[in-house]
Amino acid sequence: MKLIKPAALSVLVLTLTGCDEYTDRLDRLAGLEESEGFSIPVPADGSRPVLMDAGLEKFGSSEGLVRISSRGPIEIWRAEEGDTLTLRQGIVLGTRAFTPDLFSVEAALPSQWMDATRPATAERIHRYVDGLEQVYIRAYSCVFSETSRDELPLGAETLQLNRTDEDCYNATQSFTNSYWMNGSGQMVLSRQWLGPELGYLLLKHYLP
Amino acid sequence: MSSSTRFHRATALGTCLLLSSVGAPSAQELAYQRATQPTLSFYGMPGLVDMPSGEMLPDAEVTALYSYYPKKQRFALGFQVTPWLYASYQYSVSEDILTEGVTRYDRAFGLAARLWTENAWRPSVIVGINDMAGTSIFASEYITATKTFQDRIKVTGGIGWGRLGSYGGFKNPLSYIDDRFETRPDTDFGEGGTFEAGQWFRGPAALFGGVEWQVNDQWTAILEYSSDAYENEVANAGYEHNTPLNFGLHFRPQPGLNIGAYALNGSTFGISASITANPKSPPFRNGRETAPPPISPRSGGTVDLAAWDLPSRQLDGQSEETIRAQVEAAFEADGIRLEGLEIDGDSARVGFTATRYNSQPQALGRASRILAAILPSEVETFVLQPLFYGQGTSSITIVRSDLEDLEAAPDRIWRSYVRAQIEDAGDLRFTDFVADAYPQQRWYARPYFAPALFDPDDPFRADFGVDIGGSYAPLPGLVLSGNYRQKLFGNRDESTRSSDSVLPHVRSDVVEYDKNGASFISHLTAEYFFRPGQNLYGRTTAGLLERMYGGVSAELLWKPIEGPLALGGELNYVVQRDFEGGFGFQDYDTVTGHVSAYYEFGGGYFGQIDAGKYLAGDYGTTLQFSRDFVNGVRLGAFATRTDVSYEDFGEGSFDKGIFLEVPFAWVSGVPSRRGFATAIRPIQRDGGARLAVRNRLYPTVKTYQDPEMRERWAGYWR
Repeated sequence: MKLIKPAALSVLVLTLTGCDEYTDRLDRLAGLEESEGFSIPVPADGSRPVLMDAGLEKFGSSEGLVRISSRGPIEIWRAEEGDTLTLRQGIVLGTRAFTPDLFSVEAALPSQWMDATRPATAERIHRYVDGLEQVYIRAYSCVFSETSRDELPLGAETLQLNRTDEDCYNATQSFTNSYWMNGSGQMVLSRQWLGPELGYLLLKHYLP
Repeated sequence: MSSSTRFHRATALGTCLLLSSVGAPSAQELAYQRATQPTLSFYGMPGLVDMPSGEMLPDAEVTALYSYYPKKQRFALGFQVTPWLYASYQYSVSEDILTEGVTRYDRAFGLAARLWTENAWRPSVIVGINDMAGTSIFASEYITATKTFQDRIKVTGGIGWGRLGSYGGFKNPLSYIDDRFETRPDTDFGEGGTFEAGQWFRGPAALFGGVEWQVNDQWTAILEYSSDAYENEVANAGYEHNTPLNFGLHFRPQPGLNIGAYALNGSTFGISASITANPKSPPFRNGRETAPPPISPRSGGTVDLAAWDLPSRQLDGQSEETIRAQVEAAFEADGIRLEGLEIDGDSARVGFTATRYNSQPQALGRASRILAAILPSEVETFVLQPLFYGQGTSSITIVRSDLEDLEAAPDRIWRSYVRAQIEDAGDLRFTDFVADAYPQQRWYARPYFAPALFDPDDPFRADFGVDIGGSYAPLPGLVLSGNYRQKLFGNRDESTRSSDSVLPHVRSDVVEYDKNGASFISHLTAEYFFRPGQNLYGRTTAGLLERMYGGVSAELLWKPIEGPLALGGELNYVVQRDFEGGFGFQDYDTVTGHVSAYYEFGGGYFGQIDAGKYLAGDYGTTLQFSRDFVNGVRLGAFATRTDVSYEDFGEGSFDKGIFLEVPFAWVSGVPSRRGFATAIRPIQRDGGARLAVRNRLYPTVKTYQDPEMRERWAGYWR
């Protein structure tokens, strides 16, 4: 997993101190009051393709991601150091080169749960590949919360975000994924659980 | 009032079980197992301080233990062979144990088998035999039971014979079945190394037991009542046995590492340290290599593959030379050597050698992605032909649309496997090998480490140095290669044990080789690999075949593309090399050869039988059994019986040992085709000795075939 870069982290924090207010506020929304070094390394000249920011909470560092594949609703994003993330409507469908990976995900999509009557429930299926290169499956029951409002002050404006929590559990594990969408239904921020080793991934999604 | 919304998705959980193992423990569960797993006794068996417990370790766990108390040291290796069978190999150094002033070096082999697993009402029960093939100073047999209470307290009780029946012993209860159990006969150990079944479970029995309290995840306290009277130690080594009670404290600073401190028999302090690892749990699961490029679709999407130096659109309408050059460069960057590429209508046939990935499916997956990015859109099938020294192995046909369709399918592992056609490539030829595919050459210099174990004067010796070598392949199948081993430092030449063997000294002169040729040509050969027919593989080798022999070797292997059985034969004419390690030879020459049967039992259990004529001219059979993990780790044991008598064979009575293979990829998480392999023999003698020619066919050929292809197919998407 190259998102973990203890050495690079300090450099990142040093070079990007005082960075963008927007991402600090996103951190606060995600419950990371101290911001913990999360930041979006946006190139000022816009020379790079669209960027998203991803960080694993337990390692406290983050990296910018570039979109390298867009096929219908499915996108693949790549970090500079060579790991990739597959997304659909902002939902993580899998990781590659995270060591270990979340091989694949079957989960309800925002278009399915956003306007659904509550309580809304769905199954979520994670597939992993074990040390003997065999697939094992973890299935969860998930409940989607009522949408709540979060405000994101941004300069003179205030963004209104809708927060939905997906509470998932099975006999031995439980976790809560959180999604923040803007008024037009685009995911702005999310916190998604990848598995017991990797923990939560915090994504600051690309906004056109 | 609210109605409930439920999402339904078409998940075919039932069918995806084909390639998945539901119920594998999660990391959290594994961490819990590691926190509560059994500790090891002084003997390296699951146990308390000196007494065995009724537990087994997690399946496939490998342990290494060092224990010490005054006048006694022990090294022990252990392996949980199956969930119900644990095997242990012990090497004990005992001062004064039988005779004052004489230090003994004893090898012992122990087995423990579980009779019942623990449940809510019943303890786990084990029957065990220790030192079943040694000199019996440490021999004991036992039946022991352990019950866990509240996940923190374990209570063990058992009955022991032999050493474990020496304190508080009573009349053997088995003698009510048969009188002969009442006394334990003295045996003539002869040359040692044979099973002393005549003693097992005989003589006085005694009870032992103990309590373990797991204070927290790191600390465990142990109280034990020992039924070992330490008779020899008390009589000869000044050991004081004041009480049968032993106390122990175990500290586990991190999972897999255990340190113990003990108070023994009210008189002595002891310590131990052990490490455990599990082949099923590599340190870097799923590998550390970067992600493969996304699949470049021919329509319905866009990709940006600049990070992989790949075009983001297929090379439609380009010349075959341009396409081939692009593929070759992209393959090269991903550790794949392109050797042939032929595009015929809607089909492309691609021959290549994976030089980086030890998982063939992973190399196939990487190759498929590169081809999808480059080959013109009209190409619909990829016929992938991984090569072994330029010779065909299997032919894997991938439909390009499947690749495009399945990229985001959650259950794509089994779906892509069932759609891939895997066939024997036979004696394939490319009309046009890639221009610079041949000749191929490779040069290297890398460190080596060569231990020599169990010399009583110094049980651990080793040489370190540099291997310098290379290979040159002028044509597909033909390889000229050599290696020079330059010793830099080490002490293997300090041994003074000259061979007393009455057989031709085909292996036992190793000390002479170490003394006179510490640096040497380890091989210098011409090899030719070929495919004589469907399911048949051939190899011939000539030159300096190994450290001690030169000559010619020919092998033929029959291995169908699927199925558990393979058969092979090998015939060699060899002359013994001189000790100096150059081009000189001794007078001894022989014809040696074997017929072999290889069988995959399933579940990773593998067996091999070799029957034939060995180096010393003796005839016999070698049995080998191993547990082969999908990720490439192998642990096994072998034994050879030939027409050489125990007396003529000498110490150990017959050839036997254990072996271990670990791929570097397992250790480092970085793909590599190299690995570490070692065989540990209690003693190397001249009976039952085989030639160690390089590149025997079976281990390589099987990597291109089922079941290994199927079992590693997850790698296709990595």
